[in-house]
Amino acid sequence: MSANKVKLSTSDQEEFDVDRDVANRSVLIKNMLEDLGDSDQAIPLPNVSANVLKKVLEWCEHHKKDPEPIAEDLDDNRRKTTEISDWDAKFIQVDQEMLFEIILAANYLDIKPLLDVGCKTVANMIKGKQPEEIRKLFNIVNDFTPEEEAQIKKENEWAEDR
Amino acid sequence: MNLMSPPSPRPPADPAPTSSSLVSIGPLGSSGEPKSAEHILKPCHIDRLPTEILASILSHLPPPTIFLHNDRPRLVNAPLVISLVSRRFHAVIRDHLWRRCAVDAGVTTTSLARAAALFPNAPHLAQDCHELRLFFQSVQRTDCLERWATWMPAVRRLILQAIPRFDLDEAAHFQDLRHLSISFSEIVLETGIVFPRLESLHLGKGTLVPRQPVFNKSTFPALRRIVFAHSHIKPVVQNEDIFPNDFLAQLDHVEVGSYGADAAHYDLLLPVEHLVRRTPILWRLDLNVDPAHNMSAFASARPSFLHAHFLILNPLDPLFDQSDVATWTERVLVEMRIVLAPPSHPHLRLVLVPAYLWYPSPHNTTAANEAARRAVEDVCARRGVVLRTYAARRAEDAAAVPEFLAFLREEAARDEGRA
Repeated sequence: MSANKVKLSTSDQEEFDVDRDVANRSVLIKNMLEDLGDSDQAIPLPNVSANVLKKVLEWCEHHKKDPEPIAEDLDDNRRKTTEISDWDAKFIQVDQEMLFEIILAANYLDIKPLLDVGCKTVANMIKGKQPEEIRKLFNIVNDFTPEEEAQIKKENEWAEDR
Repeated sequence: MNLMSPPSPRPPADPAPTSSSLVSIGPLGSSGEPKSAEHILKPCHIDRLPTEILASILSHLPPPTIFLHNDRPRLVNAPLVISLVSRRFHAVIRDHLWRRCAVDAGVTTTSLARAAALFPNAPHLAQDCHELRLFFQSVQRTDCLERWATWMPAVRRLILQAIPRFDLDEAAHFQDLRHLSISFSEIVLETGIVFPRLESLHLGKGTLVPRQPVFNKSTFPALRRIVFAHSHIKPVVQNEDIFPNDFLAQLDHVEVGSYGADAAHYDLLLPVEHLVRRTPILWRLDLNVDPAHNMSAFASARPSFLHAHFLILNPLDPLFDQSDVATWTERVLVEMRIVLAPPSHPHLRLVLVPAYLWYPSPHNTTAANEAARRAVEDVCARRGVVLRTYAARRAEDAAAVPEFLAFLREEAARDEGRA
């Protein structure tokens, strides 16, 4: 196999031949490649299915020349934004199942900027909505008892929300 | 070729939904409406996310701020809405969100009384809240900081505005302080106290009055960044005494902000030549494109930036209505090109520009703006200067410009590769 190509194998046994600089966007794959050295063996990705990997690789291809992601300033986490670039915003316009699959894959493959795009997208979906709207959007069941709900409201009574 | 898996691609299997991706039937919602069968049977994909990812998602929501300026505390971006979604959301919010909360208060007698009444009823706030912003309205009441430190012992970011005179010792009551920002103040430095964890110090529109050499390793053992934004130092002592060499060596970088016209101050303030060799300086140039502003004053001050290797261009906010945004954007872009035109800043390696000027939006996609953007890109390309965007932040909060630190790391990695 060419030194510039990497073979990846998905949970559903599909194989992808990928440019090394594209695959290197995944810190998991990058580390595995460094450990393996020059090997022809396909890298198994048992947590990612082919249709998700295809989508993830599309993102990696577009972002292969990006500079290294910026380390987060842990004490500055109030400053997080939900800005997403135009290309990423179009890329992430997928159904909810795929959106959460991409987030899980980005987490597993350790692609921090893609994980960020996914998280920001979900945050944007939540922003400005009421609890009932959020539950409906994600099919979340309200598992509070009325007493618990009243208790939480009571604990937050000290402030007026405007 | 020796492959573990068969070489021919197979069509992707259709994964059957697992039981964990289906919502079990739960109790009725608070509204009392019964859930429709469809609602119950639809898979809840967000439930499959591990807690740390859910926490990361919720950390992108606007952070809550508690304002204590009125009779009743006012909570903006209340976490209650998210808390009430489900038990799981409630737990994540409880463990992660309060740390992102900020308290914004004044220091008048009534403000202090409000705070005294609030904290016993809001234990999360008192124990976890990391940020305190105090607005002094030119009232000299720094004695209250000790009380605030008792109410909010977890504060890591302290932002003080408009204190007439501030003795840095007062901030040491906050024992876990990481970031300190002081603006519109005369700051007295005669401390023998240690700030064991302070990483960044931001001085905005103020005057430093050092009584003795205090910027030293023993007072600020953890300090990595200093920002001087439109500030100056009263030269009571020699520059080299204010910033000893071993102190400069521990800094990642220094940021110096200027409107342009006041840039001459910094030649007095910083031993610039000295700093350039040892510590990277990020020069923040505020661009004022208000037609009423006298740009020639700005132009004449440019020689102070001759030393600049790294420049951040920061347009001051437009104060007019939205319909003028396209015109304002064009003026900013044209001004940027003028600032960057050779032969200014002969050592320049990096220019950071606000991301919002480069992302297409309804306001900045006019042909004139496109052309102006291209002109800025061209002038950088011709000079071999790296042009990058940065996420705009409030000046007093932004002790670090992560995009700048990333560039420095890249350069260091390249140098290492060459060696």
